[in-house]
Amino acid sequence: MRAPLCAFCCSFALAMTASVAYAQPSTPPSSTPPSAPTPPRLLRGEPIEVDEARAPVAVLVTIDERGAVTAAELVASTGDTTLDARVLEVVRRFVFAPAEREGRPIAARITVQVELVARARSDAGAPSDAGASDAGAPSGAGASDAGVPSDAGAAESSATNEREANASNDANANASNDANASNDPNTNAASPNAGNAHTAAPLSDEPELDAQDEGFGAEAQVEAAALRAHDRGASDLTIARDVLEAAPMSEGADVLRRAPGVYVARAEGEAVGHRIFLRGFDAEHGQDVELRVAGVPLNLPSHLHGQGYLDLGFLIPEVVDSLRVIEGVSDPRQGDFAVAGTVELELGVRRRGLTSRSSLGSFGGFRQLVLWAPEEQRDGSFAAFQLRRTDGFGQNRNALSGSAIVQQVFGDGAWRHRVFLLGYGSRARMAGFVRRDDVMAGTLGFYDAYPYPTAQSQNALAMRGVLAYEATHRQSDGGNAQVGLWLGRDVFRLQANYTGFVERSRTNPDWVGRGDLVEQQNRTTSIGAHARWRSRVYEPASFLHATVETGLSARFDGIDQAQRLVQSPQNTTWDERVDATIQGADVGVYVDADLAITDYVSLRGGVRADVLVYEIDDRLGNFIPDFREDAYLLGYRRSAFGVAASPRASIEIKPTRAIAILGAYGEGFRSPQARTLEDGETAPFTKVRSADAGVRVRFDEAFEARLVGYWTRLSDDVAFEPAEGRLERVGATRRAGGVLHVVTRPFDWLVGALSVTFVDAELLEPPPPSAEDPRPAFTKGQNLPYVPPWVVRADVGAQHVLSPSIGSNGLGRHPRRGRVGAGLTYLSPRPLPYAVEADPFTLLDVSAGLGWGPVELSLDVFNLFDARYAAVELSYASNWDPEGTRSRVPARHFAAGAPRTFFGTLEVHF
Amino acid sequence: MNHASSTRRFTTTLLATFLVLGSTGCVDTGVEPVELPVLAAGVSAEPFEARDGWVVTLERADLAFGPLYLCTAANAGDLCETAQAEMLDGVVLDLLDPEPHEVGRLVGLGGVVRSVMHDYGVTWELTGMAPESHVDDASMQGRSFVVEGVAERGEERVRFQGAIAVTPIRAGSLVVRRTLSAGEVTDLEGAQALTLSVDPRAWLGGVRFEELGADGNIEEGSQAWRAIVAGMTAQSRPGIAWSRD
Repeated sequence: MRAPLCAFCCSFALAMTASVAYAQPSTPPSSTPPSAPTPPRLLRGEPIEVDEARAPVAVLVTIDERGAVTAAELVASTGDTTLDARVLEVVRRFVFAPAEREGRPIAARITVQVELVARARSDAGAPSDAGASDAGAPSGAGASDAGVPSDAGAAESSATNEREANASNDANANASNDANASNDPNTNAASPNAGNAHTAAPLSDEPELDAQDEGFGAEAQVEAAALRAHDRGASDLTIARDVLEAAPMSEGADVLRRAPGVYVARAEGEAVGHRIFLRGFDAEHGQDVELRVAGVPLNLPSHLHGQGYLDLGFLIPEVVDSLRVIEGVSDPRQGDFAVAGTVELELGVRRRGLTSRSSLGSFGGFRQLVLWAPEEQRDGSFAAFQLRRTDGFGQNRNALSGSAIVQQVFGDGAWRHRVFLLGYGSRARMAGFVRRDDVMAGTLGFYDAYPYPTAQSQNALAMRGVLAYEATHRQSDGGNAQVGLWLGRDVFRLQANYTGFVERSRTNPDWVGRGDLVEQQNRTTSIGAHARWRSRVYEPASFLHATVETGLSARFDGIDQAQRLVQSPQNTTWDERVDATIQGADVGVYVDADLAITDYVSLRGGVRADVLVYEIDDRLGNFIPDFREDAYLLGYRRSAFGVAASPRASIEIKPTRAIAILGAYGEGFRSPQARTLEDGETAPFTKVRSADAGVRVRFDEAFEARLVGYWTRLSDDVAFEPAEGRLERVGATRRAGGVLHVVTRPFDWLVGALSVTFVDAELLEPPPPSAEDPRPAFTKGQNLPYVPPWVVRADVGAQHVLSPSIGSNGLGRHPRRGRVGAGLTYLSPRPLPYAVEADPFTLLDVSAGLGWGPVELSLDVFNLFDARYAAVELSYASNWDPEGTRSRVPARHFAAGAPRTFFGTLEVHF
Repeated sequence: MNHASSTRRFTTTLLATFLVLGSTGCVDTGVEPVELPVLAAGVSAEPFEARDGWVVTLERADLAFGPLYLCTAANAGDLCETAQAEMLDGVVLDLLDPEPHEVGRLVGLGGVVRSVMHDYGVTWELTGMAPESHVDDASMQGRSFVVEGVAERGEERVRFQGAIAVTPIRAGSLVVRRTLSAGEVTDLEGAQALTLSVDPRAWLGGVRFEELGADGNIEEGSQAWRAIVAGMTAQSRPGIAWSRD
């Protein structure tokens, strides 16, 4: 165990040491990354004259691939609406040489400082002449000859210099795709105090717009900054693409591992949702983590296998452009299941063209990716198809899956549109959980499945389809609005045996010992919508800038679910446990304000209210035991209604440019599993109260670190119950801990990231009494099961040109590229139910690749040191010895993590 | 302090933190389960008085015992799908040995136990077609209780013997389920041993020896059989005592 950790420490230390030498504020990265675009240049403009000279006004200008201004908005009003309109009207007539990347014109967004000069008294109202009257004009062109194209580079003016510098900064920031950069209010046009900004805004919020928007890929995120600020507390961060792809990824869900405190495991099988741990939460299959992709919420409410169920099997890592993680609750936009936090995935493909990636690997592994990103379209537009198959690393683990993601971004001027389509299907056989004592005794191999038909029949099937449309409108006054609509259909079927042979049929109690193969079926049809409006920047005082946002989200779910016991191999049903139809609705509204008090303090926050309504047709409710005479018919229909109100606020204090002190408090909720509700019950919500405070230190792009302390309290937590294969209540809980997160880019070709998360997670009160345990054991300070106190993640990636071009034709004109990367995950021992602990483990994944022109060959090795580890470990009673005496004492069970796995990949790009 | 030095110091601290965490994280700290000896104590072979003036002298009283489950639920049975501790082996207890002696091991987890359930050596597993003895002792004849002795009342003298099977009525159920008394409830943490106290005199105390046949056999379904089974399963079940630190 120590070897991989120590080896990785050495490599990470190299990156960190390098950052010591190079991460200095006065010495930013020496050059822009290879893909950094060149900024637009002003070719033609015209002066803006006013009666009296005024302070310059900042205008955020979007320039398309042809150099035309497609949108313009004031970063801050002049205070004169007539003048505001005139400024915008004039700026929209400007003509630019478009920004370029690798010689290809691209759209871009820059901030232009437009000076308002006094009109000459002798020539009031007449077009200005060159010279003095145009000194403050936005372009040298305007100064020389309005309406005539000119060389902006030659027509130097202070405004021009500044603008170009800004655009350059912008491009650099965007090329690195570091959304955190937007956290700096000095560079954040979204922040109301951005009127002071002399740089174009780098990346920021509204990723759904980002990816869809300008078609200049990461650069598009500049525009998002104008829509809304990030930085909802110390735990709001964005993981950029270079960090995401530093270490190898075996599947799309691996992108989540890059976030602090996150561990993702696919314990049950390829077609079953991932088990997600986030900052002290065992989020099971998503109950505590809200996840959105392209603006669409993906958690499935009241899912039979787990509340808030998520299966990230559809995700194709190559199309994930960035990952925004809000750990805790601090943003009024966060909705249902945002208990541990929210993850937003932004999709986009920067490398345009047609790409084919074919991978072959251990255990019959095969993956084929076809990714089409049309050159002429925006980075948010792409179509990707992925096929995966494996024989599995042990018995009974073969799987096949296919996934398609299509996103089209279009629109001109003030309007942007996005269409998102997702299709996914997977079927897998499952080895299931095995008893550790059986493995230790040698009766079962570490990667084996039990030999009985009830174990060999374990399998899962998953299908999901999502269609979404979203439109964003940027208003002329700087405000913006958005509306979206989505449809979803999810089908889930699981046959799993967690407990062996301990179940008895309720329907006929003499039916026993047929194997506890639990069959779960869940089908969800969802329709949802969201809309929001954000105001222009108000400036009630010179030191105060404010914006207000209001929005709503709504979803309606129709859920059919059933749970049965099935005897294998006959596949006959020998008991029915659940047969229900649920109709659910969640309508949420919020108001959010963003106040900038001077350049040093920002306050953000608001309140959210969600209304949840359920109608349940529980066809097996009011079950009649066999010993009781029938006096009524089966069935229990009921309805419930509840409201959750959640205030949220955050503060940011920037005593210096490099240091920010951040804090947040928020309340959130998790909706209930509808079938647990009684008729007329005021739907109980798991109420979460979350606070964090910390400090962020940033030295340009080269180094960023944040140290955060956090506290979270839940009114009513749940834990996995293996006998039923679903979640049960455990009572109130509290988590407190700290997070250290560091990202360093000491060279253009090297990136490193490290996160260390500690949590003390406690059960605050005894679990609710049950018939089986009317007085549940409780010890003050009792640790929550499954939660690892320590989670460490480190990523290092390097890529560089190995040799320059050696000719102008054929392959010789292409430089040879190389890249290496590594990722390390460490989980400390974690408590399990019944006073036992799971073993710690350390995983090290490495990759190396060599590219020449359109071709790249790479090798990925996962679990390099072949650690034998439990991807997930549980403790419960089972009986996997049908010939022997049944044990009823809880025992450690585990689902094996994958052994060392090789994958070789051939990539061809056209 | 310039930025470079502050950055260096900060980074060094981070590295040190990471290395310390890594070096302390590679230890298996799994908790060992609880394991206790199970002792059994019978009674002396002294004659005792049964109903209707019979004086009984036991010559053999062997009891098959197990499996044994200790539950956290107040009521064992269906509510004890998960036990805190168990002794799965079927053992044979010599009930005429009054000295506590080890007969098996109790394995489980720490926690409070409030009820108990067990079989007398004959178990009907959920996966079984019928009850089966799981005591590996041929002298028990696959039964739960083997008893021999003499009952005397005045001039009457009855030599009796019986091999009684106490079987679960359905698969998965156990023949004895009982809530522990206040003095028997315990937290396994800190317990040193479990002592079973079994008194066969109470089981035979209700037998009408005059109704036994000439051969003295205790036949299934007879009054003697019913009295003994009632004593074993309801009226005089094995007692539990804990030895603690």
